[in-house]
Amino acid sequence: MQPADYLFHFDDLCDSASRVQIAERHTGRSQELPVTIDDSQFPHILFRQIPSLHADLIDLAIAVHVADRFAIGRADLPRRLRVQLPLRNRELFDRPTVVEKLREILLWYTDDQWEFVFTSRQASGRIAERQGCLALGEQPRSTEVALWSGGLDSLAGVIQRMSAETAEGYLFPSTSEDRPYRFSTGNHLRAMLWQVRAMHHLLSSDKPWDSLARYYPRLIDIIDRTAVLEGLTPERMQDQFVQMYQRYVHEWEQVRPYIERGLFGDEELREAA
Amino acid sequence: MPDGDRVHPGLTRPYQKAYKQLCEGQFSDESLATEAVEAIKRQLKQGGDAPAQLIAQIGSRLEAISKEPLLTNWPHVSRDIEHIVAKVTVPKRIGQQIVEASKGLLYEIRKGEAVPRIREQLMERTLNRVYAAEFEQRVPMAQHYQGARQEDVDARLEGMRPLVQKNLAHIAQQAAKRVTFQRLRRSPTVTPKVNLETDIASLN
Repeated sequence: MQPADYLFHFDDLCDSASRVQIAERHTGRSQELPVTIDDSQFPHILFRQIPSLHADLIDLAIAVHVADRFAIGRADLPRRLRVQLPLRNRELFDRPTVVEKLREILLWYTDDQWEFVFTSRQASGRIAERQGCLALGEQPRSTEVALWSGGLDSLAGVIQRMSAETAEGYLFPSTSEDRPYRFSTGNHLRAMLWQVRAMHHLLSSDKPWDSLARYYPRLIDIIDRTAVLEGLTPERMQDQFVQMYQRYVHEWEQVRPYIERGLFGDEELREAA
Repeated sequence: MPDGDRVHPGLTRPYQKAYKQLCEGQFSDESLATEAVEAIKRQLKQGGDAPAQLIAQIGSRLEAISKEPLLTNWPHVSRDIEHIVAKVTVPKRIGQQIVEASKGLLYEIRKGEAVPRIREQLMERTLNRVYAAEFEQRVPMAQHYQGARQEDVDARLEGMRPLVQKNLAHIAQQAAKRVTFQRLRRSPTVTPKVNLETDIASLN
């Protein structure tokens, strides 16, 4: 394996500011940054302390986020990132299957190479791990948090959850917020319309599954990897995929005029008319 | 290119000129296709030859599989493709399209379809996917340059697409044969005959 472009060495992540040392191989530069986690709200939502495994997952998520934000990519080339992080349940995260899955997921999301070195945490847990909360006050409104990429699948999922009223409130951190041109919700809509049209075109063919699989071959991977677990035949899953996307496209056409009113500005709406 | 020339914030620099021409409306499908293919060539050239070598490597693997399909563990090969790409330092955006194109070809081999000239096919499909991902899919925007209407932009994209594909097939053939993205020549253009009826604005 080639040496990492960036090394991130985290101290125990505590309630007060903790440190992360960042070393960049190409320039030889290193810097130290403070990292603060505020998970004190969790006990108020859960009415209990957060388990140590959850606290480890929060630390891991923060470490990945910091590494992803501070490692500057060169010319769209994949980055090699090495993260050293103290954890409470080190032996769990050190398992080869866990490490491999973590690397694979992060590779899938970022197209970067990730390497992890977990050490044993020395400091005691954060307040959220040690102190619970009595359920004396008003019950908090239930809020569901979900990632929203802004794409068709994501939107369909959001609509489905909201129709089923799975929560009173919904929070959708968008993964595309940092792209300047996405700030226009009209642009979002245009991108979705493109997806809908492409999907409609694929599903209108004589062999809709075949067209889908050729254009989105990762669907085949999903079937290969999950059909047995789901207890379904591959053919049945193929049918389900086709039906699901047909339904999305149909539903989209039903709601499009209403969504357009909300997402396009006046000028954009006049132009689209 | 100064930032002022960046008229579409969602497109990378090589594709700005092609987009401007797309919106301006006076360019022929041939001109638009030529500019778009030039942009792809610039992007490929910037990425070096590692992607071309990677395509040759995966292409050889797929060729071997197509000869022995009965012995193939398809999910395993599909995962292998991702691992092969992950091991090589190639620009992410091109690497993603190599993976998609490879998996698409693998699906066809798995179905028992005859896929001739696999390495060339893989190169051509990768380039077509790069075009779609880097330009076609990114063009839609709420308000276009010079107030161009989305419907007109869509129509021009439709018109230029077969010409882009033809050009990409031509450069894919060269890139697959020489395993490089340097000094690629686009397909020869036929000089249009000009007479009194010709709209000179539509000429290059």
